Amino acid sequence: MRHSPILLALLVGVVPQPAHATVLRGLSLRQLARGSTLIVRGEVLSRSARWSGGRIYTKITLRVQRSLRGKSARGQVVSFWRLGGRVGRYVQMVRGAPSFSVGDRVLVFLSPRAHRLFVTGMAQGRFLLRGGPDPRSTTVHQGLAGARLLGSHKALRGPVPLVAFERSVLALLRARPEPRP
Amino acid sequence: MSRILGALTLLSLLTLLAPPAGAYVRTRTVDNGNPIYWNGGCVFMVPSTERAGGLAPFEIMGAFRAAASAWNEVSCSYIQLVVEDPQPGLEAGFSTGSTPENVIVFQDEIWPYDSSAAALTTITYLASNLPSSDGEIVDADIEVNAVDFRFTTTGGADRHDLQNVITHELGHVLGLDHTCDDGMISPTPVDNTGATIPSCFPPVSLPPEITEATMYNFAYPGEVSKRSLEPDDRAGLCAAYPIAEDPNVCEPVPPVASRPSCGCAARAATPGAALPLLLTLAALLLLWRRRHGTSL
Repeated sequence: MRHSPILLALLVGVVPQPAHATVLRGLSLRQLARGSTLIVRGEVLSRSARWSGGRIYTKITLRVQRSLRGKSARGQVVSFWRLGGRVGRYVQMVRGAPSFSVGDRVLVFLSPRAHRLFVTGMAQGRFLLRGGPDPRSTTVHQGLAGARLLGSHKALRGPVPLVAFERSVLALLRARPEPRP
Repeated sequence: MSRILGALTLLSLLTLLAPPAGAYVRTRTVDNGNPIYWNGGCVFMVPSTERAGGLAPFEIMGAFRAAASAWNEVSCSYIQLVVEDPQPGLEAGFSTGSTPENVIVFQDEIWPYDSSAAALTTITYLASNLPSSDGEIVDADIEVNAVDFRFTTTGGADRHDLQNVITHELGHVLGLDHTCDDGMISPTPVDNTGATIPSCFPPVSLPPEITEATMYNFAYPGEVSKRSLEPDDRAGLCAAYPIAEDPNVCEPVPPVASRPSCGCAARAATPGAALPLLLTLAALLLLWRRRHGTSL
């Protein structure tokens, strides 16, 4: 089954409007793609947490299998951060922050903040990969990204084929910016 | 005698098999899956009315206090949210060496987190290998993004109702979680019956108990319906802090660094959970005694 990039952008790209949680504004796939300086697919190698100013941050390292945006080659290791984590007996929980486990295969949208990379849109910018390892038999999962809920309460199509998803992201990155209304 | 025994057995079995009052969801620890909880009877929240994006301090305090009241008025729960007088210069975060301060703060100059987050609730709890003390909450902060979002206390379809937002966030502070699975948390949370909570999508497939609860995952600009609690919200609160277990202690959490490293603040077992089993055992024992004619 062939997926049109535009259709995918509509199916995948629109998430519910502000989710409490942490209250998140839903980002479209276009917003995720355009708002990220690095978009990579790979496997989570490690995670380590530390205190910084009363907060716990967790550093995640990822071995890149494919880069859709930004300068990172296959096999390179990329590091980024998430809010929350565990240091000793203290656990800091931030709802809406993306979760990662060692060995996870993910596709992440990353953007810089305070000289560090974070996942764009918090959990919205993390997509879990299942199936494979051949990309043609791999699907992309992200609860929120499966929905389309801008007012009309429609949508949700379940997992999306990785190949079609990446094609959609690349098409959105190549497309001209929409004129402002 | 046999009628009494029969009734007792029936009562205990019914208690065991009875469906729960509601399908609420409690936030659970990452390692052991224990529900997180406050150990005392009160949670002190210190607000800041600075940098509030144009809202007057009295509007903000009114919204905060009304949001707390919604939870405080649940009569089957002992826990009380105490909204203290506002203080300047508050910052979110947790320090092990001082008395933890739970804050509600606005940021309207620099929002240091993702710009898609309108409010961020951070909960710090103690992890322990002992199930009885795993998950004690020691700090909870709510940060409101007044840089990228506009809030109101008087309505407006394009703005977020502050009381609506804070009532929901206070539910998180108290240890309650969302009512459906939006894919953000792995593994998928379970409700009070042990069942995996349903997917949020499509929303039309969800029963109103889930979508109308204050702890439902989604809200819209102009929404005010989550200012008040629904039965599942109340059931969750009463399961976490049942009035029968009121510790009658209303003090701030002491500095955590002064505690033993095991985090041994053990919590009493829930008598509600043990009652059906005790009734059943008592009934079976009486029946056994009756049949065998023995005495203890």
